[in-house]
Amino acid sequence: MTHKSEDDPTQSRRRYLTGVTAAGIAALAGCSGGGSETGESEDASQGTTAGSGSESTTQSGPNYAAYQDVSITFATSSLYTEPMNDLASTFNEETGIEVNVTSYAQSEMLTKLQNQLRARQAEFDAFVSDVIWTGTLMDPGWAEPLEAYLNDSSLAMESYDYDDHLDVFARNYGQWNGETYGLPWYGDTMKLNVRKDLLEQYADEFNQNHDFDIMPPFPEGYDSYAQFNKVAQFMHDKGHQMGLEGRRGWNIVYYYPNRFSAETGMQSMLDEDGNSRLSMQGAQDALQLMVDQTEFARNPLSTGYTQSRDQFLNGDTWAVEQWGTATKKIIDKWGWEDGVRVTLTPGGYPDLGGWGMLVNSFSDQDRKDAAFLFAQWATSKEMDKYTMREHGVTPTRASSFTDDLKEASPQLRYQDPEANPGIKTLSLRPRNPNYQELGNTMQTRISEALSGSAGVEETINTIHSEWQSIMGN
Amino acid sequence: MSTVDIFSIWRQRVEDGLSSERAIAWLFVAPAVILLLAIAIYPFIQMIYDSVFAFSSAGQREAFVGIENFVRVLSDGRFTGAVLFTIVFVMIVVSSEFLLGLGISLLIYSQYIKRRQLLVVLSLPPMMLSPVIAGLTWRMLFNVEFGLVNHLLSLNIDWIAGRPWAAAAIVITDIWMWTPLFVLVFASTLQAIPEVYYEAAEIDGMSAWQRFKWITFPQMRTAIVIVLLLRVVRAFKVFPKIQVMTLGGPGSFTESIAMITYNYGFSFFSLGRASAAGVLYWFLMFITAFIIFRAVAEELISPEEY
Repeated sequence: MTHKSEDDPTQSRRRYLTGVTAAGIAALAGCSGGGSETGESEDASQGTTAGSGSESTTQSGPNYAAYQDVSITFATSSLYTEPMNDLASTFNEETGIEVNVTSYAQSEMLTKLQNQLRARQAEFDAFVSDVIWTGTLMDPGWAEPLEAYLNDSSLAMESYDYDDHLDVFARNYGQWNGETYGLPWYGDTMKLNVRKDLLEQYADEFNQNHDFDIMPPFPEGYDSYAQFNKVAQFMHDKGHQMGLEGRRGWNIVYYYPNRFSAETGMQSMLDEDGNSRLSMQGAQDALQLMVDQTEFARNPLSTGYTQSRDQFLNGDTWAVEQWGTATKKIIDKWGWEDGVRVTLTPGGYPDLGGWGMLVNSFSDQDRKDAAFLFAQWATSKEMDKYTMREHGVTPTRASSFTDDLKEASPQLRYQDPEANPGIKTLSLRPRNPNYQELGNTMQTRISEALSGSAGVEETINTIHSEWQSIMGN
Repeated sequence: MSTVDIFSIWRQRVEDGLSSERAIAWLFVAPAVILLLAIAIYPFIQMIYDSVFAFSSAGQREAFVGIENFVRVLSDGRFTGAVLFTIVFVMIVVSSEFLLGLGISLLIYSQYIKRRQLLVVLSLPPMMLSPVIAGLTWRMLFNVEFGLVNHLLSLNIDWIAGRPWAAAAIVITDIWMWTPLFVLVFASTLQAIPEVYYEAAEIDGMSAWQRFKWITFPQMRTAIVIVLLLRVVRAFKVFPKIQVMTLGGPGSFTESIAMITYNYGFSFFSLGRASAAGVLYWFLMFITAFIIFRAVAEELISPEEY
């Protein structure tokens, strides 16, 4: 079963173009005032009525015309080049402002951003930032504070409604020490994907010998990783392997927190004072469960994000924990509640992922303004839905969880503020300026444990003491 | 003595100095020395200076910390592990490349082989690739699921992520890449050995081993020394191949000194620690180069200079 948008993107772009062009005309004409009572969609940009020649042209809004000669560069992870190119060209069509997209490999992106920002000579004017990079990029003052822009009537969209972004996304992707530096663009949590059709084949046999169902209930999923491991062992004995991202890399740093939180009940591995919680009861159990899974997994030591996704898409594994964009591909391939069931990660603490859009504080003011306009437009209500519909980039706004969009993309309901089990209890990676070193330590040590060269207790104790040292505690 | 006398004496000394050949020589080399100081010595001194400071995440010097950075680096198990891995790696790859290079070049210059130059040229492409391309190519070849190596050998080894296979994969890639350098240097040296030596040896009834021992090897000594020195220094700096093949894993099993130093500087942004690691790295390289140089100095420098 495949889900394809029923909306013609050309049509939706055209509708949007009409709105934004009207806004430009209105701005050029020096008009101001609100136009929300015109009957046009609130989601569209400012001044949707102006283009129709309506008398309701008193709305203020972004003055795109003032930045026609400005060309900006937007830095993105290579994972999101396609949606970002689409957004850039659409924005250019609709506003006349040129946006060049430059891509960095996901694994190298933070280092490249940091190197350039440290030199105060970055080649980009705006950039996407992973949720766990925000402290690193905001703390030294490299990202432009956006409050003034959001309150500037010549730049801000009246319909933007910052508070429509789910609080967990707004806070984690865009705020640091009470200041707003970023606009949430892509809201995501991890999910467990299982092959429903395969599990159904074995349901009777498994259920006879276990006190729980082989099929994880939708949407809560398995009660615990211990329960999941029992299914994994059973499926392994039947010749089916699970997916496990055990390759040394950042994947380990998002796989372990799901397990840590599920075993300890704590959302974060650091407390409010920056102390490591890895000495807690349950931290070792969490790693032991992960180590046990290497027995049931397909080439776990050489499997990272793309490999685990492709294994599942190819039918080589029966279960995998993955992010939203991969889940969209998985559902497109296997069919929602047909070949695949998507649930919360076992134990119910899916890891928070996602991205925000930040503006480089060292760019010229004109470019910063234009970069803000692009970031604001790309994270607006309309584009939040558009990017989900066209690219599977899960939304950050409460207003995006419409019935038609949830129908087309069922996985959305994990972030639906109405029925959002995946948003209520999350596991969080350290969102901290020291994240690179904390994460590097964690991935290296856990990789040692997964490859069998270090014990679980020794590994967790080592990470705990190294984290304490890194955090100066 | 009056001021005038002192001035006269000083002036006379300067004039005498300038008229000497030694002074003229110094004047000629001065631009090169100044350039060297600017582009090589200054950054090195800067690195030593930075190694005793703590830095902010924005890259500003924050506080003088003395030898703290050195203590932290030397007490970091990953750094000492990387030193050990790098030394073992250098010993294995350089000795393997040397033996393979020597063997291949002797084979090429044996009486049975025609079109020798063509063979030498054909052996060069691996050396011309960037380490990143070589690493990516071999990463695909070593892929556990789809790689050609496992397929041809009917194996199921996780070359890139398993112990000790990840190290073996890096070693094989490096040997594949750099053996051609030895072939190139040795082949050109073999070509330059006068044929008359071998003719005389044949008249004297020398065996093949004796010809190698008494003619070929002594004639190749200088080339051997130079290529070994170059390769040892280069092998110590191994980094991009590992970065693209194993990322230093599993765990920190295949991390090299260059890699951990890079991590200190550009992943953790601990520039003080990176500088301290750089100083230690340089010290290790200096000792190694010094040992090699002392062992073979007479090959490179005339006895009067030495």
